[in-house]
Amino acid sequence: MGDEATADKRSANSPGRGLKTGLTALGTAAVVGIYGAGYALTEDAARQLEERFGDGSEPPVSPGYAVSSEPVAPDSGTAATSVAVPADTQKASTPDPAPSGAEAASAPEVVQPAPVSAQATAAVASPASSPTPAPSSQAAAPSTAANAATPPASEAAAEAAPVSRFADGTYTAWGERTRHGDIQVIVVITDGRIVSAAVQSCGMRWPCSDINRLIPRVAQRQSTDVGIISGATQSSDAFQSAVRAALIQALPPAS
Amino acid sequence: MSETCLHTFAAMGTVVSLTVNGWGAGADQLQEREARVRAAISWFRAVENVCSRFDPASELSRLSDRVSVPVPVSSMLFQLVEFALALARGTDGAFDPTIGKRMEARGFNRSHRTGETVITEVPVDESVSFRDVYLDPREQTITLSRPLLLDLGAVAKGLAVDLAARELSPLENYAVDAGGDLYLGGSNATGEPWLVGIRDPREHDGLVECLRLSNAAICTSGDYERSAGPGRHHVIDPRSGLSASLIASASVIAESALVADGLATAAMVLGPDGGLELLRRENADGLLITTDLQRYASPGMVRHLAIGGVPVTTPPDFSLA
Repeated sequence: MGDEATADKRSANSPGRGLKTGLTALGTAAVVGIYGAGYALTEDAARQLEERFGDGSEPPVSPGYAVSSEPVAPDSGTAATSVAVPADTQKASTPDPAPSGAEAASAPEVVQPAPVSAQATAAVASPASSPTPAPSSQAAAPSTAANAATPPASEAAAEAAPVSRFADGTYTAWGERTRHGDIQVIVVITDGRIVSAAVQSCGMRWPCSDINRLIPRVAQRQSTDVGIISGATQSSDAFQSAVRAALIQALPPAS
Repeated sequence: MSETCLHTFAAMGTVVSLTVNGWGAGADQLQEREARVRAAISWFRAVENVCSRFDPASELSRLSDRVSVPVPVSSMLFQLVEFALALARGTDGAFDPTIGKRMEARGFNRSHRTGETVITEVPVDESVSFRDVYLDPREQTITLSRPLLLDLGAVAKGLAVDLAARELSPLENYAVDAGGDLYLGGSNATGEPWLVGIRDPREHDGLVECLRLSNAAICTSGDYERSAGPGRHHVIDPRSGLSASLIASASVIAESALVADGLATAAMVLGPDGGLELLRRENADGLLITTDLQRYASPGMVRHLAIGGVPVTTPPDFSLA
């Protein structure tokens, strides 16, 4: 019963935070996303990057191709660069007929950052508090936490999905200031998913078009774990930390 | 402070004007203004190149040649179609982007750019709908399950206005006007919110309302522009195939011109009751004027009305028709 009360309180609170109705948010997402992607149209640096890395099919972020001087650890623990949605909720919130096999492939990227994970995991775990299936061993990976919540009560499962997703809205944030400046991003969340991210202001010494290829990955991967572009490490870092800061704002309020 | 700077050019079948007020007159500032105005103009070109139904080389046109194949598209086309489909779902098909062929068949087939008549090879099929278009966000592909011609006219112009406005936004006080689609940033030359008149749908010289707007978009869709003959204007009810007949003009205020234009177009088709219900649901404000000249306003519309109503002496900064 106590849980229900908390849930009510939460849903009563949530619309306050930059919540927008469906089409308005989607419209903003489209404009922000297209503008962000179109940076390449106006910035010469983007074209140079294009030439430097050839075909333009897969951006040069995979290991072995001049990148990842600071590897973006895909394994848990130390990786503090990634805020991710549990794979389950991600799937539940995707109405589009996407190949479900590919969804599963994104699972390894579900890595919780140190400061955020506590909050997010707690939010996921709390509704299933009844006979406590998992003896809340602190290091529960987010996906396992979501799984643990799913089987016991269908109510709890229904509850878990909206709670653990991001709150809809448009969020802007600056990153952690690097030696060479900082980046402000705008991230749009619709139906709990990241639908768009873009550079809002570029305060770096170099054009932010250098990291154009990273930008669409935030929505593609539903994660801040977008890699680093060689020669634009600082910009990549600033971008990732800005997206992380924006997504932290987008976390549902802790009960 | 520099004077108002106005750039006018033709794009997307209309005349577009960009206005920037009171931006600094230093060399750096003038240079930035020029660069941003140029980029704003190039956004119109970019949207036109991607979304024109009249240009056989546009991405949109090339898409309609391929049926039942996932076609990789630019993020611009993908996101615009995604929005159009969401609007179609949200209005139960009162707005439908798959109406292109029927528009063409009804005589809306002349390229604004070249003046040439464009007839595509897509067959006329009254039963195609937005449900025949599938999106794959992961691969960024669009699949048409049947031969059809997309028409993004209603939303593409709104998108171009928004992109141009985003480009100009660091200049603080600016306006993008593209024949019925307007975005207003900051304030006008007298330092007040922009004054926008809504024209009388039947007596074009008169205004029915004057609004004060800042950092908002407003779009008006009317039954009097782009007519292909009596009773044949450009907003078609996708469900009947006939021109929408209940509303003479629909004006919608939203945070983006994309949304405002989409909602205004859908409201034209839905009529006064359905239109107001849509605006309520989407938390947008608007004024709908029926063909028998009754006015229907959303409750929040009163917040935007200029004090004193329609001015007798000062002309508004912009008039929407």
